Amino acid sequence: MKDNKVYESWRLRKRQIDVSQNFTDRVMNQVYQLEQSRNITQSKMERFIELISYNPLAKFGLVAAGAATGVVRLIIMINSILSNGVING
Amino acid sequence: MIEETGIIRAVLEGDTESFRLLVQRYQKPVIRMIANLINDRHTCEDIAQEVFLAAYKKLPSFDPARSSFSTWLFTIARNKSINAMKKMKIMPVSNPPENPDFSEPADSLVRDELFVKLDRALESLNPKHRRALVLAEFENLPYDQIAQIERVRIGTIKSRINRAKHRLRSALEGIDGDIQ
Repeated sequence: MKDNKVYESWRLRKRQIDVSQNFTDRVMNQVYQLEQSRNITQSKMERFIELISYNPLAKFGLVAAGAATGVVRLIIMINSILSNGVING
Repeated sequence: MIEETGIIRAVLEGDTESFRLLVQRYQKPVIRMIANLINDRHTCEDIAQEVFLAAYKKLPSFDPARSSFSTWLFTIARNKSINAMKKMKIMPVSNPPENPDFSEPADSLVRDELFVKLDRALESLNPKHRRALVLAEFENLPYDQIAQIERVRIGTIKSRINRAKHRLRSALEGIDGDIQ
C-alpha cells in the first residue's frame, strides 16, 4: 500500500514537465526554413527546365552531354571486354 | 477543438501555419516521453524539435487508415529517442524536485530517496521494457496503441510492462520510509 503511494506520486512527478515557451516558435522557424529551401530548389529546377525548353542551344548542349557520356561508357565497356579477352586468351 | 484530419489536410494543401496547431497539441507528451526515455532534460527538446520536423517532412506519407496521428508521431519520437540514446552517453538522473504535498521535511527526504531509487530502477530497465512502461504509465497510452508503436503484439507489451513494474517494485522493497 505504502509502495503504491510512493509509486503513484513518483509517476505523477514524471508526468510533470515544463516546455520552453518558445518551443513551438523554434519548430515553426525550422519548418519555414525547410519550406524556403524547398521553394528555392523548386524554382531553380523550374528555371533549368525553362532554359532547356526555350533555348535550342541549351537543348543541344544537354543532348550532346548525354551522348558524350554514352560514348565514354561504351568505350570503357569495350576496353574492359577486350582486356579481359586478352588476359583469358 | 479542430479535428486533426482537417489540420493535416490544411498543412498538406499548403497551409504551413496550421502545423503549429499540431505542435502545440503534442509538444508536451512528445517532450515528456523523450525526457523519460533518455534522462537528459537539456537535449530532449532538441530531439523533440527533430521529431516535429521529421513529422512535417513525412506528413504526405501519413495514412490515417493505418494509425492515428498520435501513434504515428509517437513512433517517430520512439525512433529518434533510440537513435539519440545510441549516440549519447547515458546521463545520471537529476535530483527530483521538492514535492509541495509533504508536511514534514523528513518525509520529503525519505520520499526523495525513494524517487531516486525508482529513477535508477527505471534507468536500469531493458530499453524495450522501459519504453513500454513510459508509454503506458506516463503517457497513459492504451496497450494496443503501444503495441502499434513498438510493432509487437499486445501480449508482449503487457509482459514488458509487468516485468518493468516488477523491477520497480523490487527497488522499493526493504525500505522502511515513514511515508504516509
